[in-house]
Amino acid sequence: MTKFVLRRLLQAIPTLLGISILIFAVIRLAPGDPVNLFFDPTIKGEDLERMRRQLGLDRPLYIQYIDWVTNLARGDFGRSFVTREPVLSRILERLPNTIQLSLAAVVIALLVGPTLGILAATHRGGLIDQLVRVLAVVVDAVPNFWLGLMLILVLAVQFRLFPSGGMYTLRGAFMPPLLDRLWHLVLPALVLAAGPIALYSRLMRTEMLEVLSQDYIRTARAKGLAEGVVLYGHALRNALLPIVTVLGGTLPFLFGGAVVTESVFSWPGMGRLFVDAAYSRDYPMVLGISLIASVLVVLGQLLSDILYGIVDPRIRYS
Amino acid sequence: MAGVSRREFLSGLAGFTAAGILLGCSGPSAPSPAEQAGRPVYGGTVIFGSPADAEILNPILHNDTASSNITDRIFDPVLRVDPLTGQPAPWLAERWTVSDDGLTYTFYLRRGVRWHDGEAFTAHDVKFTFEAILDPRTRTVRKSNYDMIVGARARIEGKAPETEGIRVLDDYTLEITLEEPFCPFLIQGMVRGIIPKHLLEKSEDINRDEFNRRPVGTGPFKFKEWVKGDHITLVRNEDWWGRPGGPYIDQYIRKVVPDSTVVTAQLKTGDIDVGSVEPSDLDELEREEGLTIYRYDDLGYTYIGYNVSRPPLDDKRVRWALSLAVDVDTIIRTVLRGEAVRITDHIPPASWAYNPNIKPPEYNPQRARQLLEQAGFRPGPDGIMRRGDRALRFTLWVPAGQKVREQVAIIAKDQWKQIGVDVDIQFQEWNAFLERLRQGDFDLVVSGYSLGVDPNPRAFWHSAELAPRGFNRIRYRNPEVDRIIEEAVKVPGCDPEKRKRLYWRFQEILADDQPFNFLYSLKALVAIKRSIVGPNPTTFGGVFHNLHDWYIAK
Repeated sequence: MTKFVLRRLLQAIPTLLGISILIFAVIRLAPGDPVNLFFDPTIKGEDLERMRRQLGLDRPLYIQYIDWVTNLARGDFGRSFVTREPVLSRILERLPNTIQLSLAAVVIALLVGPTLGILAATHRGGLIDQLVRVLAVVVDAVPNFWLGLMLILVLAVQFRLFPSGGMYTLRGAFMPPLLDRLWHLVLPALVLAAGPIALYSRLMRTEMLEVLSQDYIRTARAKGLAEGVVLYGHALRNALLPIVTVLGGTLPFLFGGAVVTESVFSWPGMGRLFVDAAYSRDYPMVLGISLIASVLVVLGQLLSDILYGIVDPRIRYS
Repeated sequence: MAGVSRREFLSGLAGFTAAGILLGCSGPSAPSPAEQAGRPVYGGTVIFGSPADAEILNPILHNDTASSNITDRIFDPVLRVDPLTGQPAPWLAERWTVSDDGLTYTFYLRRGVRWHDGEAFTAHDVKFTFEAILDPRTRTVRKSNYDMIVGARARIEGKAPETEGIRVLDDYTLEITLEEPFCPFLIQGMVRGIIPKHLLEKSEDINRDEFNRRPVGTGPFKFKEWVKGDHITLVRNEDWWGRPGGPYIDQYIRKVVPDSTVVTAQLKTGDIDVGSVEPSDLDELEREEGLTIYRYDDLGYTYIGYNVSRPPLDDKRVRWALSLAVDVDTIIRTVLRGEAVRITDHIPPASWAYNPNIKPPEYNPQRARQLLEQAGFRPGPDGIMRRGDRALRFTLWVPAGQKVREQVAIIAKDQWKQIGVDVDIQFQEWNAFLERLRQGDFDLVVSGYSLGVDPNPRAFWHSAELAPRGFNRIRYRNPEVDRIIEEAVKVPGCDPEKRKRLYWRFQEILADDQPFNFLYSLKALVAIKRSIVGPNPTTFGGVFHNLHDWYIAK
């Protein structure tokens, strides 16, 4: 198992190197540059030229890439063009907020999605099945920003049940800090979980139906086991396998979804950091975030492979 | 730069230098609107919800409105821009004199001003600030704001350890000598926040100093905390020189709310007290009992730009035809709900240099067609005007996501069609759009410019500032305009009347040349909680210039 993990980690190095070239090329070939956004009637062309030079943008692209990768090898992600702070420390400031949001979303999705799937499967063709199906389709089709805005307008503005954004109350908080934070987490996490809930519920329904038609389930029922034991003791464990597989793939999806959700809910996470950096062509920042996100995706895949083995003992790592 | 949402950037275009670098409404001695309204009450917090987070809290380094919104509260400039007139007025300097030849300025600074850490403020801090800007190692776009000072060029190029023309005469007297007269000098150079020498002179690298995250100034508010991407909190400076006891409110918080719909929502829930208003949300917010909507004229404007270096747009008749074909008044009435003023040229009505005698192109499609015919165009079989084998087809580039400008483009396209001009609209992400402008790769664009507090239009219209190097992105060249621009900044005695006359001529030429269809200047709209007493937003001061006078009525 350790050997397997080590080998996978080593394999990740060339992958990440390839990714680094790709993202460098993509961001640098996109039209625009950081100096374009400097705008003031008292600035002269020479100020802009000087700034481009000071940022090193006048050097050949391949030299800029080599510089970046060499520094990276020393653990130096460079500094933001904009705030002039180390890229890594800026990411580390924001990363916990995104992880918090994503984890909450995963937990919600894992609780709600499969439950709905099971309900749908056990009530196949009935009203519940129909409702779950409609819910999944609707939630999947509605864009995150719209869902977020609707929740804000209805639950925050109209009924004042939840806050309209931010991570905590800035003025006049009426609950203890931890509860206040959880209270702020509910709506954004729900929006972020919407897509995965739809995915998991549909997947779970299909798998459950398949498993329930297997011989060993019939045997279990024939033995006279209680339906609950059949469902949760025998069927569920097998039906969960595909969910575990897609879980690894959900992580980058959550990161992508966080970009929109964080903007709508004023959540100071990585997603927004990335969007802002991309608009302003803050190259070191964009590169740093992309690279860290890639690492997270690679780790997510690895995690899901390991989980796979735990859920399904037939899988052995060699 | 980064962190500036396009929306804020645009509103920045508007009141940029105005809202950006200014501080203070009425001088500390004059009774403020707050004091006139009743007995001010101490206490409370004002929260401003705005799309972008600040970038860097050092007034010599930043170039975004979010950062200046904060640094303008923390740092004091030597002079401030009078929020009502746009003229320089005393601030850290109690008074100043100018020599007869217009070259030597002497500033007499206030005594007893202290930095937030208790150190005394002196003329050495002022010299240090300007030297830091000119230092070749400092990464700032402000160097040319000071390059007319004697010895500044040598300093910028690293050939001199200090600037000859900036001299400290004693702790409270500073003398600055210019190489040649430059009328915008005070408004351009002396209204920047002053930074403390004692905290930064030993800095290894001012670009990266921790100071830029935890600033120390002399201003009415002190820095308390900055949670990146979330909020910045400032607290009252009780020892502020401007008023014993300092500002009335305890705290000022700038909260990041990236989505404009959510800004509106939070104004309604009371999570924020101040927020700018989109014209489309105006009706909704005006119905809210607890909010007051303030309006003020802005120095920014929106235009449709013609690439004058591309035929047939080099033909004035074609440009005029395109301008006459667009019904701007209807756009203002419908799309902008009347919250804008029609403009005629680069200098909008809010400026002291505005020329009221110029008439904008009146919507007149028949006249537009005639002009095209005079220029040799005839309708083709498809209805599109053509000259020889060349049809009148253009591409109009529009920044994506800027709703109002997208609508303007769509209306214009439709109206151009009626005079036989076929226009294809392309939307592009903001930075890529700016790159396209810089490279000159366009026929037509919808975009915005802004006048500074001083109307000097050099950056946009002088031929020495042609893109890709400078901001003159449509590549406009006119020797007479160049001459007027140069002359207007060195008028003897900087007599505003004489300068105005030159700028009036500049406006006449520009309006006649019609390099742009100058469309409108949006009114700035801001919603503020009704219980807050004291706000008095102005063109030159923006919303927060007198934040130290605001209080919350009980």
